[in-house]
Amino acid sequence: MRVASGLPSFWGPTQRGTGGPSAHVGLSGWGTLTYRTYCLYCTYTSGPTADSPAHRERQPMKIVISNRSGVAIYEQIREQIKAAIMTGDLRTDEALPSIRGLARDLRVSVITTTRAYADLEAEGYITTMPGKGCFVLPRNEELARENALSQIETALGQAISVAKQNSIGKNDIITRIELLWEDSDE
Amino acid sequence: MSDIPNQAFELRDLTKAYDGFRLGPISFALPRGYVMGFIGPNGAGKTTTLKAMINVIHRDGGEVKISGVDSRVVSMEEVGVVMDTPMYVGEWTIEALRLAIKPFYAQWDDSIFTARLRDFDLDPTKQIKDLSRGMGVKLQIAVALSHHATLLILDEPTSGLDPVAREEVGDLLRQFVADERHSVLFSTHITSDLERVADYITFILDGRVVFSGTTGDLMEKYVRVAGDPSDLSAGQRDLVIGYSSHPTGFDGLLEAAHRAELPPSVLTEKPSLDDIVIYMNKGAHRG
Repeated sequence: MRVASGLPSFWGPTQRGTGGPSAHVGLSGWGTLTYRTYCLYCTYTSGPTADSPAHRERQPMKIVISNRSGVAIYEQIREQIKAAIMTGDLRTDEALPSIRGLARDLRVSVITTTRAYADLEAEGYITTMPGKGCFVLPRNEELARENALSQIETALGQAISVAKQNSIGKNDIITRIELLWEDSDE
Repeated sequence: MSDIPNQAFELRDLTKAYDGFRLGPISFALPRGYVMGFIGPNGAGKTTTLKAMINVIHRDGGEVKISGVDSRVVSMEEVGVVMDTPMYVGEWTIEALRLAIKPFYAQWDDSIFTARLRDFDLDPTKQIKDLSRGMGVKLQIAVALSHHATLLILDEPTSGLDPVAREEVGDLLRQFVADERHSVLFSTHITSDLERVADYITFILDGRVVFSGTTGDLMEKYVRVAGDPSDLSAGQRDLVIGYSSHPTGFDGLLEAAHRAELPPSVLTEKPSLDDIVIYMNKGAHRG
């Protein structure tokens, strides 16, 4: 399997993070392993990936792993793949990278990626076809709506706590939301 | 069902005694397709265990199975060994080494060896004694790949390497297990290498297995605790592994299951793998 041009090809030596202009793997500060990004589309495209049509046509989705965020790595992977499915960056029936390939490319253990995929499968985002790999399931509209609502609630919750700390009333907030809503329609 | 055994290796009640040191009986196993880190302080018995596994030293008792077969009769083609320093004649060049070891391996593949030497920037005309620590490790990995080993056993492959070279070795191991038939066991005392790479960890202390299981389970089994010593009763203090107190407070390790038994004023946090090794070692050698 071929990976993005910024990563070494099979057993390649040390040209990490120094790929050409189309390298989608940005290894920022890889010496200190702060975080790394990794283009999903490259992993299942055969041939010289940097030039693959799939890659050129589309905004590459990336997985960015932070070592210091305190969020478990499998959760970071799971949430980012979930987000890509929700936004449609990953389309129905699209293949995900193999568990072992992704572990190698993200430089995490196989158990980590296995757990992320198992969670995604349990939550109904992907399905595993034995011998073929993992694929994105049709987007569940109800699930998507619930997910969106929960994001909205989190954001509004923050707004409300800021308002309360500063003695700003409920009506003020509602007015703000209406104004912003109309602004964004224009 | 596949006819390949799903255990990469299995140790059962392995023992080995030297003057003043007794290893085991220790037992642990690794499912095929995963990386296991083998940790413990110097002198815990890591190298002895690895050497007994590959029959460099005789074991006193117990069983070692590799791919389901007794390690004393298993084909050594299956196993790639990376020791501290290459177990090859120092005056030989890499090319002479290739000619010397090739006949021992039915599956030997010259083209793989040549390609890996090129990838690793190893000059075939170089003498083995002139190789740096990192190059020696890479040479041994190249040999293992060339005879199609399915299990790599490495003794401290990253010690003495700078962070860049350590990361390269880590990448090689991950690349190796991208094939699900391949497995890796490596000992190390640099635990930062492990938290991300190792699927499983086996931790030994004084010749005994303290923990063997997934890295996640180990990290979730314990919490690091710190706080004011006067908040703890004597009984509570005994729960803290590797308890140490100083004028400004105490710290130690606690089994996460015991958290509720300590007062809420005690701070708890996720331990690092280093924390676990250090506190457990301290706890084992206290009084």
